[in-house]
Amino acid sequence: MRKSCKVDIRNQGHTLIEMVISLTATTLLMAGLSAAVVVTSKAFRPETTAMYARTNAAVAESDLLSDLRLATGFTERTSKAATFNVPDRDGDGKQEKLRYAWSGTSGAPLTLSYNGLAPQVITNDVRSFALSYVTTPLAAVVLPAEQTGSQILMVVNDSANPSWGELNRKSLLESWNFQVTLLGFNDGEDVILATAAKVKAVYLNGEIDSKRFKIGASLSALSVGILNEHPDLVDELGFAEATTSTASMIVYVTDNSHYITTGFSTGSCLMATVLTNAVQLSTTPSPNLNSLATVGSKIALATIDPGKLLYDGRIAAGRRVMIPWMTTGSNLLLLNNNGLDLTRKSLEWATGLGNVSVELKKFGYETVFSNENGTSSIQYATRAKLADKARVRSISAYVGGAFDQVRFALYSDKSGQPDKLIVQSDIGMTTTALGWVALNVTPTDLAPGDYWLSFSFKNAYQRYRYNSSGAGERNKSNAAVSNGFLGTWGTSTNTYSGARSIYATYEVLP
Amino acid sequence: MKAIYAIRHGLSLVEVVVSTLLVGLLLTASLVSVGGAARTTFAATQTSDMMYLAQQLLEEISILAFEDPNQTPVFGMEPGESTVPASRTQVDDIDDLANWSETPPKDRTGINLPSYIGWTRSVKVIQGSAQDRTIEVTVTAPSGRSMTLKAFRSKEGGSLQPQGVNQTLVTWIGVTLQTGAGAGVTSGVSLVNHAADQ
Repeated sequence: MRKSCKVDIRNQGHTLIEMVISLTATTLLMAGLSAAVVVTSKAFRPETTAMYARTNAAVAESDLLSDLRLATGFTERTSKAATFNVPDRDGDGKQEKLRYAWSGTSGAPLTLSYNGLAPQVITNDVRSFALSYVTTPLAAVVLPAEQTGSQILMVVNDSANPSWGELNRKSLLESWNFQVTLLGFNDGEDVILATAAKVKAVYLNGEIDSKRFKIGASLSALSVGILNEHPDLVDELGFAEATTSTASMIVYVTDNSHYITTGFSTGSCLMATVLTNAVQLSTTPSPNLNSLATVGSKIALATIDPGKLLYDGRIAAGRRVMIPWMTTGSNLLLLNNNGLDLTRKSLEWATGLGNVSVELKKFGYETVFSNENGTSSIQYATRAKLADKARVRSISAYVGGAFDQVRFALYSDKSGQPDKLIVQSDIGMTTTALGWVALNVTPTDLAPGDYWLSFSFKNAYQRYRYNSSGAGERNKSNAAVSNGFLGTWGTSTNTYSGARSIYATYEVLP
Repeated sequence: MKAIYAIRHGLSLVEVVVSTLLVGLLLTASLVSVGGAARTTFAATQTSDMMYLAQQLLEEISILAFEDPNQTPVFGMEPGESTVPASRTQVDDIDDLANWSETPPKDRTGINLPSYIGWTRSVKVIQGSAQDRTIEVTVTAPSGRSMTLKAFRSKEGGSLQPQGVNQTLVTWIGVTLQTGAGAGVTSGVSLVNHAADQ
């Protein structure tokens, strides 16, 4: 029997050549892969790559540009360094001073010093760093003749280091052609008072530390104009005993005959883009305070004329203006064009532009009577006696009952009856609640004598207040709101002996 | 005696092919990964360069006068002004740069910016109403990629507010920074405040 021979092929080995070749191939493969890994790691190792260095420079430059964009002034400007101020960043009300610098030595770091502290490294290994500047000369505008030389003293806390808000105010005033001098407690009270006596107006900004401000009474005795925005100084300046404040975007213009409010309509006036803190003269205002605008029914924008009584019995030595906005921490950029316009004209008036307030008086019936009546398309007239030579500016009546149109007018008197139309207002509005509604009329000069104050409603539900005894009432059928008042009254539809709650406001003429 | 020969098997062709394919795939994948990462990094850097270059010129143009302050303004170069100014220091209003183009990008004085050979920077100024202009700055890299930044400018720019005193304002600052072996980064910024030397 033939013996079979079995060979176990599972245990076969490799020849030396095979091993050498396979090991060589494996080594080559591993070397290739390793090279790829090494190249990759080198490519992304941050410290050694040009791209990383470039990105690092870009990040540092981005920070530098962000700071430079907000610069408000420079104390150092070279190709290797810049020292400049930026608006307050830490809430202390003062600007921050930044200094970016590179020594010029290749490999040295770019550093940033904050408010004079030790420089901190922004980025290392700087090979080159260069700053270049474009400057633009800005010529002073030619001032209007009446404003030439309008020098303003702005009182701040520290004139050597004014806050961002104070510098903002200064820039704003300069943009309005005023020449502004900053003086602070660091300059001394005597210097402030001596300078105040030479300028056209003093601007007391709302950021002044009122506890350190001891010269309010001395300033008040000067004939120079004073504009105040500080709530804690109203008593020293004589506007009122005390203030309150409320958040508001709106003032209610009550008198648009003054230089400051010229061009504004009476009524609500948006003066800021967001809610801002408005100061109200709340307690014991001066008896001669001219209220130009209110906030929340309290006097906010007001003036006192020279020679008039201050709240505590002193006499105002010069023009005084109280503005309700721009108090501590306020941002000028929050004021809209109305707010800025009122601020500019307030300061202009303080420097002497525009007239002092005219003396305004009223004739007619200021009493709110208790009886109520009214319907549409009737001209209601009430007889009233004018004692002065006058320029009538507005007519006010206590009306309401519906949200609809109303119109006022003034007639002459002939033998105790309404006669010729003298002037009529534009159309105004009443609300459901009764109250005083004032409508301007074209300023019209009147001689002393009897006149007829008239109003007319659009809506049958509108009402007025009346009393059964008075100088006389007349009614005349006419849709005066839509068609205008009759040129000649003619024969009255109804005749009564009472009076209605209506009066006219006028300026006394010499 | 009968000789016994072991039956010796080599690698089959299929095995060789499969192993070669696997190794090839592995190598290809790793190289593609490395290449992709490199391309991404390069593209990001290039995008950043484009943005900085565009911003620098856009900010520089924004501070120019809205219209020629020295003669009756027209859109574009005014009579007597060079249609091909040697540098941007010779232009005096925005629309003087209405069709500006430069290769490679230069600084204000006309000196080539380093590291930007083959790059192009161009400006387009679009006349809106009499009170506004649209400024477009386009930067094109050698690879053909481009980026456009736009800005709107009104007639009364912030730095043009009239004031009662003579003052020289710093209106624009250019910055070039180079760290390590990287290329320098060049940009600029216009200032929003009335910043003067103090």
